[in-house]
Amino acid sequence: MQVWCMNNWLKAKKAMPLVWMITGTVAFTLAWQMMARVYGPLLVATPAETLESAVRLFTSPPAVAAFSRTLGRVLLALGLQIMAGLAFGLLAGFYPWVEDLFKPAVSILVAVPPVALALFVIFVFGGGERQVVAAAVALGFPLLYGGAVTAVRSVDRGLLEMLRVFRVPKATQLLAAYVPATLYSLLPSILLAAGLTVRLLIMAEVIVGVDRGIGQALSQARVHMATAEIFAWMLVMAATVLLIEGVMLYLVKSHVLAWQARR
Amino acid sequence: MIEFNGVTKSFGKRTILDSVSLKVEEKQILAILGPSGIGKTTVLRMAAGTVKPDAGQVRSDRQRIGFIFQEPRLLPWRTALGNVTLVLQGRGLTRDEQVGRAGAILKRLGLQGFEHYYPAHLSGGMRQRVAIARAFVLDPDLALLDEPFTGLDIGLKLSLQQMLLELLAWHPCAMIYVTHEPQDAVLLADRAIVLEGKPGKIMASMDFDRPRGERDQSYIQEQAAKLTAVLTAKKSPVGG
Repeated sequence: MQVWCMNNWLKAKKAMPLVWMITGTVAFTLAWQMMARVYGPLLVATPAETLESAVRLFTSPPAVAAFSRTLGRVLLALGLQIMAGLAFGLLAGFYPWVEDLFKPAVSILVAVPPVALALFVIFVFGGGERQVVAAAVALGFPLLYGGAVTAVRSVDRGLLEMLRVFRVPKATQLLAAYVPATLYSLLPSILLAAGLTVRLLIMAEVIVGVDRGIGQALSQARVHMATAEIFAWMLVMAATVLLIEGVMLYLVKSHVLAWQARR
Repeated sequence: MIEFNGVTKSFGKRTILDSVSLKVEEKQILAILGPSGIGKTTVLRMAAGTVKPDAGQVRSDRQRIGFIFQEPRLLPWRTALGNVTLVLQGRGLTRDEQVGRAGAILKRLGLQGFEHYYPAHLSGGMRQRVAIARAFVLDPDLALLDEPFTGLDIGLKLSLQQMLLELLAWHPCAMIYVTHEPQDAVLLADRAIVLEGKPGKIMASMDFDRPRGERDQSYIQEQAAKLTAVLTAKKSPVGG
């Protein structure tokens, strides 16, 4: 009897996070429903209308094309951010003068509000797909760059001494030790950057008014006062962030971190 | 041959080694004993060429150096095989040759079947065996060992020492072996020196004349007792 009770208690304990998550979702949906009642359908769509509109979006070829286009831009911007952050972070980690050289530009990128940077991009370089991706890369770059600098400087000194003692060529040292160590330390930042990039890129799409993409679809929905559609795109954006983070976490856990101790 | 002539080394204001002279001939094994912080590891680093002396000279004709650290120092994201092949890179070997050599030495050290395991999935003893394989895959002409068996349980330590003796019989090379244990020094070395004082100087030197294969337990105990007496006694510095 005692064992049975203990087993059930343990099962219940394991299920608790799920219970709290469902409770949170229900509470959020209820609050949303109440807000829709208070403000009316013109300002706030109900959860049911939003869901219905989201389903409609995914059966509409132009909406699917807009989603695919934005997703492609997000992945491109994220890839460029990782490459640039890693490359410049490694350089700045090795050579303090490079860090000093980058300091003013990075400080400005961190301090300037994203909207201001997107507007700057339109004024200086004009509106276009490349400019939107460039703006998203510039906005996400400091996060990955800063993480890479810290990561390079915290590579295990013992491992580095081992590489020197065995006279491992410099290029191999870089590829076999520095890049993996930095990349693994950067994983939390990369996950954070993925979510940030979706938000920044769609914001840049809206501001720049680039052809095709979620940003343009949002702008059009706003013009047509299609509140449910705006809410549906917001839902799609949240789902996209969760999807990218989920896929990346899965890839990281199943492939990249295969070398970590089993828990 | 590797030779230290009047080597002095300081880190900051602290002098670690003062006028240390020693010589390790081809295929000779030298044990270095002494208290912690006396400069034993600094001697190894200078022999490896990663630390330069402030005064004096370190002369070496060694081309291939194998180093075994106290902890395995394996790259956690590379498999056992990957860690061993790492040190073969840039030495004019094809990828197949690297894998062949690394696989052969891992097999010799009883790690067949574990080549594709990551360090985190191996036991402490297995990780240290990978580190030994990494040091010996180069066919070193000088092996440097920095307390490689410290912190291991006695059974594991004896088994690793046995493996090391077999490797040395298979591939004899000059070796400098840093240890705190007089018995380990007698088991493996041809000669032992004791570093003592602040800064560290060579206080005593002792040769073990009996061939390694003929050293029985009583010989090891007897010589270790002599070495312990030297370690605990205060002496004047001697030449290497």
